[in-house]
Amino acid sequence: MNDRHDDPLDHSIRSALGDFVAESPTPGELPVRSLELRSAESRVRSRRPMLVAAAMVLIAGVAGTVAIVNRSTPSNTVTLDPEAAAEDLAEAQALLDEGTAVDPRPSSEITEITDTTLPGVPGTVPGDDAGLDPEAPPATFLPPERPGPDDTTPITVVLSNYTVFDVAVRRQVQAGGALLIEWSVEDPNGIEQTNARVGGASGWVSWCEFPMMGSRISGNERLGRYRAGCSVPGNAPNGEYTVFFQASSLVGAPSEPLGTSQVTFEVIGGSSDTTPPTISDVVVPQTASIGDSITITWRAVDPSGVNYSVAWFANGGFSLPDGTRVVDYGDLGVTRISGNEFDGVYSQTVRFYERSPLGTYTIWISRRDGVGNRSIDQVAATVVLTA
Amino acid sequence: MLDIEDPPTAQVASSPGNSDHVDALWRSQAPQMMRFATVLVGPSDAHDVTVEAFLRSAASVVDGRVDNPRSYLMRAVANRAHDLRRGRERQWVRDLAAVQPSALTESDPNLEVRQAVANLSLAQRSVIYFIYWEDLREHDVAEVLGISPGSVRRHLVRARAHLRKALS
Repeated sequence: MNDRHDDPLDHSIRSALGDFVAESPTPGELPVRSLELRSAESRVRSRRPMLVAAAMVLIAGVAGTVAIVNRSTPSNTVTLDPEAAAEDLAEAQALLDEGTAVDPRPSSEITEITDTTLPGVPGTVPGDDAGLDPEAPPATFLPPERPGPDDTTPITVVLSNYTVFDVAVRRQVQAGGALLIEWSVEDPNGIEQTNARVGGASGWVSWCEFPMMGSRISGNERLGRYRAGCSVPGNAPNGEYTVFFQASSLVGAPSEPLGTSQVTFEVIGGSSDTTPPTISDVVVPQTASIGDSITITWRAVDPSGVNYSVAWFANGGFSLPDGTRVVDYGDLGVTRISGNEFDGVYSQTVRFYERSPLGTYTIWISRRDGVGNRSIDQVAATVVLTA
Repeated sequence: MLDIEDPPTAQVASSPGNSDHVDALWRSQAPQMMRFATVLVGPSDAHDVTVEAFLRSAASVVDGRVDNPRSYLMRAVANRAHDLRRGRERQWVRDLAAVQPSALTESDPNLEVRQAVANLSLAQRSVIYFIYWEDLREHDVAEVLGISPGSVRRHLVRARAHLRKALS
């Protein structure tokens, strides 16, 4: 930065950013329980086709059955009677109510569907796109001509989400070789893009673009074949990896949750080291006072070499409300004081601020090895800070 | 690509003991996330983007599965913006270009710059935000955004070239 301070352009950019930042909304309180709601939502979401159908059964007052045609699983046709539909909705509602009270979205969303004038007008289920899951694509449906109490004509629910199918990837991929993936995506509304992400035992891999955008090699946006690839490094850890597919629909419906479409492959001939460095011999003072600097040492061992290792301190979180860390890490300097990269002892010094909260600090050591295995784990040692 | 999602193993925090940590995490990180989100998507969508990004990422951070929580959360914001980009980008450009300093003067010398910044790509805006507002070095920006230092430099050079051209 320093070399550019004199350029008037830099001043202008900073001023413009300042204008933007000044407009930044005030965060307010996070409804923590919405995390729990989210969990409930994800459970409800997994049963979404059934719930959409259930809502329609109740709204339409169809005394018969409903067939659900889910494009993702065309063969999976489910029938549902109104009683079961009511139970399903009640159960989903109960799940959502569990969490809940402070979630910004009203918890009565599902039942709002009943306010619609659904029969007779093909289109999107009203209320649905504001409903269970803002991420999920809207459902379209083809209602019966004139549903009545005696009408047993099945309602067909077509979820207009995309389908990923015919994924081609080698079951085994040689380290040092190429990972090539081909897949097909069908979406009646067309997709704008589709992509793939590769995750392994240590999270997303660094050797593929993230995400890898699919290039269409045939077909069109409604039904197309896509390809992506990357080079697998020769020392990539052996083992199973997962490719996650995602697409975004042209009609603006957000894509299905990541992970819905996935396939696995195995890397062979790479590094047999598939675990992050092991940590042992953690030494740290058991107590400290405000203002103290303390030194923590630990031993990290890895056959592929320790790429880095850092100790983090937490007391009700790693940071204080003002965004600063609970302890002063200085320049986060970690020194290897003995041994070598394969088996060494590391030392790090931190200082407790005046504002560091009193109490017990847990210690977390993150580390990565030379082939990308990484982890962060809490160690047994703790430090108690007293005034 | 400037894009990261929850790791494949990420799940929603369920143990009750995590609530306090999540709350503390929100209080500590939300202001920064909100500022970054505002620069990316404008004031109207910033709150939603931040909350959504936080909810997706908080569990992993609180569970200690993340090496660098701040970077992880910032990337979640960038990623959420990236997810929403299609169809909303024009609105964001409008929102950002419409931002006016509270003490508005007759002739606003920054108007053109703001419009030019609003027209940058998400990745370029991300980089200039961290370089110019958070005053990070290129290397640190790369760390926060999870992209290579080369990519940071490339985005920065292109952003500056674009801005200089727009203002000349």
